[in-house]
Amino acid sequence: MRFKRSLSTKGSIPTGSMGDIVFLLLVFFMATTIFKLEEGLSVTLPRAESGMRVPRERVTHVWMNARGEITIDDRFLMVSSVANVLTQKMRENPQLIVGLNVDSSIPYERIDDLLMRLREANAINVSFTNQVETR
Amino acid sequence: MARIKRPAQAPPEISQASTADIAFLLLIFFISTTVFEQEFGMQVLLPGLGGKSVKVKRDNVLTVRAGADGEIYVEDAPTALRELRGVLEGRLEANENLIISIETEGDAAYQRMIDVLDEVKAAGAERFSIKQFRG
Repeated sequence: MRFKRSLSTKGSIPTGSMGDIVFLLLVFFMATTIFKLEEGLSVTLPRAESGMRVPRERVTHVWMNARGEITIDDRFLMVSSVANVLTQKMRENPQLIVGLNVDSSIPYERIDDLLMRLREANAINVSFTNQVETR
Repeated sequence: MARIKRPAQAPPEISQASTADIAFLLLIFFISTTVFEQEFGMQVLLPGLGGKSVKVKRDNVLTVRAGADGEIYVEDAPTALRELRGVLEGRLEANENLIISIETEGDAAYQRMIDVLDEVKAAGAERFSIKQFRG
């Protein structure tokens, strides 16, 4: 006696949930995207091996290019007003880290001056931003 | 008079077939514009201005000077940058209370100071100070 196969299954991948998956990914990327808001200055950062990852959300950048121009939040400042600006920022966020994006060719006396201004503003948590060098 | 019958109308609906396509388009846009930018820096904690100065024994301080000419002096002895880490590790092993004082000449480039700081960090020193060398 011959049995007849009753089922003939058709192979097909269900595509109904494709839209859901795509939306899930979309929401993830939308949530993680940070649009760069700060232009900064063009600097050649110093090279170093031992740089650690810095939590970006806590960082305010102070930029100084090879010509010695200083910006914070894309506003050009004299070195004398750095303390004022940072005092204001420290008030808003006491956990602030000041990231110094300073050109590697700047003479050290300018850095010393800048560090003194940071101390005036009580912005003592400082990160010397560097390029990572592997030896 | 003959009555004209209206053709049966399908219930109105918005086509959803292209939803996934639109979502994909947005997804691709966000994937391509997302930059997971990381920042590396060497974090230091500056002393506050109001803080009391702490007296330390002369024996516990090791001075490393970065000169404008690119030379590095450990307690006035010229040392090559690549030898510095070994020297520091030796001194730290001999005296665990050692404080390394990084003194940079005002004319020296910022990169010189970062070079020394990098080696100090790589040697595992946790206690160090940075200042400008003044004669």
